[in-house]
Amino acid sequence: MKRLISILSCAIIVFALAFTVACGKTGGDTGSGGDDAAGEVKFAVCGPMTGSGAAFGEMIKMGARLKADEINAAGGIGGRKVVLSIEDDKGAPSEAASVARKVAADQSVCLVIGHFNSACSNTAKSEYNRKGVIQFSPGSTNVSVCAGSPWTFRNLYRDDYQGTFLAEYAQSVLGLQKVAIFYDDDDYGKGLMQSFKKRAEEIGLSIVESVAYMRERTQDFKPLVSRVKDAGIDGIFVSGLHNEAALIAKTTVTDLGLKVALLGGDGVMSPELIKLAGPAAEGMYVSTPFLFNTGNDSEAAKMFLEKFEKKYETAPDTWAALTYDAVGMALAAVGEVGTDRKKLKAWFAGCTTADKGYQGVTGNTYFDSEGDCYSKGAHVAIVKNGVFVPAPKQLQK
Amino acid sequence: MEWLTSLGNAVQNPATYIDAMTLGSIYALIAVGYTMVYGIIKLINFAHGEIIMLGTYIGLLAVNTLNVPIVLAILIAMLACAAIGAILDWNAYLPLRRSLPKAEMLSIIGLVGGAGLLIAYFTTGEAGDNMATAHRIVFGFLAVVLLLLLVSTLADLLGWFGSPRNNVKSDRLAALITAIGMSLCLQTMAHLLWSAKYESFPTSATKIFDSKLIAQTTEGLVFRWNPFGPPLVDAVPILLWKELVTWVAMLVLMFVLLVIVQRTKIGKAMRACALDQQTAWLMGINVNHVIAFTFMIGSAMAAVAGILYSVKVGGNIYPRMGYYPGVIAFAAAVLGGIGNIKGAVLGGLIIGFTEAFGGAVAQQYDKAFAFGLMVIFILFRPWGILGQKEAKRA
Repeated sequence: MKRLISILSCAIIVFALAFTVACGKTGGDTGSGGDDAAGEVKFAVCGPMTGSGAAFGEMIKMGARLKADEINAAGGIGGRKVVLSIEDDKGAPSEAASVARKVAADQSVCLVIGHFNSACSNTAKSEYNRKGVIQFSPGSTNVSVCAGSPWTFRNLYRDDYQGTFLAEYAQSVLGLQKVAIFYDDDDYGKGLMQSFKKRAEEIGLSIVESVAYMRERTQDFKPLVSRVKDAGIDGIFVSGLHNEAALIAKTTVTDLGLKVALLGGDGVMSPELIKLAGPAAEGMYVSTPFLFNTGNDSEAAKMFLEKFEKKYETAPDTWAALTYDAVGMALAAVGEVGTDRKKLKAWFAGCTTADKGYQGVTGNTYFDSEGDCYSKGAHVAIVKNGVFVPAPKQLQK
Repeated sequence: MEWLTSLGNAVQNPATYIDAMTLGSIYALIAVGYTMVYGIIKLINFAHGEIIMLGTYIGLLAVNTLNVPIVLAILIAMLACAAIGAILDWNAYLPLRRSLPKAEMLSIIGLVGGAGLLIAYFTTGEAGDNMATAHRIVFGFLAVVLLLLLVSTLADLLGWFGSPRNNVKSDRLAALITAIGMSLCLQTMAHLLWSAKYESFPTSATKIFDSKLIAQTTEGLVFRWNPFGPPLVDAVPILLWKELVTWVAMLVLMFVLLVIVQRTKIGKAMRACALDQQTAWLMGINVNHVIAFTFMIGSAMAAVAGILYSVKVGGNIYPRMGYYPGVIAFAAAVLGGIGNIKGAVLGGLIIGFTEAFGGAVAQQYDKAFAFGLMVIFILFRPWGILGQKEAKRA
């Protein structure tokens, strides 16, 4: 009996191995063939698919898929099917580095859409430069992301612009005088905090304290907010991502009963903020590179909104729109010059004027010599009755 | 001496003490789970943090789908977690405490592995999506684990594992590794079930908990003993209901626990097992039942702690949420003397106070203060404050 069982088990293990091999093989089939002209067009979409930024990753994935499916339904790019390889960097620089190594080494990937978190883009860019593949970020706003990196591009503003914009908005539109800053201790949070602080000092907006926190490690914000409670502040600026902003809003409003204006950078711009913070988020101001329902939406934006809601039964956010545009622009480039990585880079680097730019949902995208994009302004959204709406007063620049 | 002034401010501020008490109570509730399991089978149950997470998710589900008030949700989560604790013990740790003939073990693994891969093979995702491939692998792995659990339970019923025997000493390391494995497994399962997105209890559900008990108004301190009454507007909260509830929950549960351990028959059996398992078997105590009961109690406490923690910080429900409270409570259990229930409570409160006051001095290092204290204790008094000094520790 025992022997029988052993033999049986050996047979099953062999069977199992065979299945593993079969599994691996089907996985390989979908990935190959991007090199030859008749094959697929393969992009890697890198972002925080899991971890605290998973809500962003989800929107990025949906935005990218929507564009790819549209093109495929219309027959692809010159008859070639568009394939997206979704890669998860968990919003952590260490993970981003290994994702970059994997993606850049895969010759079938002709372009990378991502990363989202600035710290991830900054870590990954050296690998993309070494292997020569375009890194096109629809979300990283840190000042240094494109600097000195010829293969890096982005389709939204930089944090020095955003920080300046927010500081001016806080003072001249909201009339704030004393503000406390809570910032995420990574490239994005720190960079945005510094530019906000710099502009605030120039225009005479007093900063009581800049308090650092660690994403996913700082969980209890009560001691942090308590520190600035008695300083007579009239505003709190959160330079970080939505989850922590929700906790700060809840602590400020419910636990400490402070009545101050809440401001956030674009990292806070996610429907998840409202879901997590509930009524505590009411009236929070958030800056964003793009906003729906402004009253004078472009036709493209209206179309996108409709298609997205039809497909996913949920409203898109800023990041879905920016990723949709990034994929669209990359596909436009592939349509003109093919999937060769060097030719694609030449196309992107040459896209420096408004008439050469890509007209998408979020506006016209073209780059300066570094790969930064200055063609889109910033907007301010306010949370009203549980949704982001354009703030009644925008800053005219 | 800037840090001295911040410490001075913290010492004079009642909010620091309130915070320290709340955190300490939560850590105490978690630490009890570690310490009881260690006391009986000398196992650091690293999956305890995941029990916290599962309990919180179950509470959230109860609130969201059944629309029950949060107090009832805590009770549901306690019951569910008690069941999860027992299942965890039966399926992950019990087989390790028994002798297992190798041929049968191999055949089971082979059988289950094959079936798992079959399932993995047919759980296909969209082409070209690496996430789908990853999901497939994870699903396959989970299928393997689940089937292994099923088959091992079945094999146990059929008597394949032989008569119950105790091998606790030789299998301690295996049990520890299994605990780490279970922790990862449960985390991944939560990931697949509820996604990695952060969740929080809806504000409507936590309204009573969030309401003020003592508040500062322009006319001085105001007490509001009825949480259902009209809310206090324009008042600075001093003490919130959720904080008082946390303290009371901790004290009541600890009292109940001490009564169970000191005054009931099962408590007597637990103490007997902690002293000497072989003799306990010989005296007619079913040690495996007692161990399962210990897991159940510890897990129920973890569920309460998880929900109260989430209510305290205002959200933060995600698959890895149990990690930090878990390791800090582990430090608390070590500090108080692992294996000692009163020690766990004391350790939890000490860690809570260390974190609150340390955080007042240097916010980013609040947890470093807690762990630093643990390191000091491990160096100079490794058996903890109330623990018994042992001649030999493996």
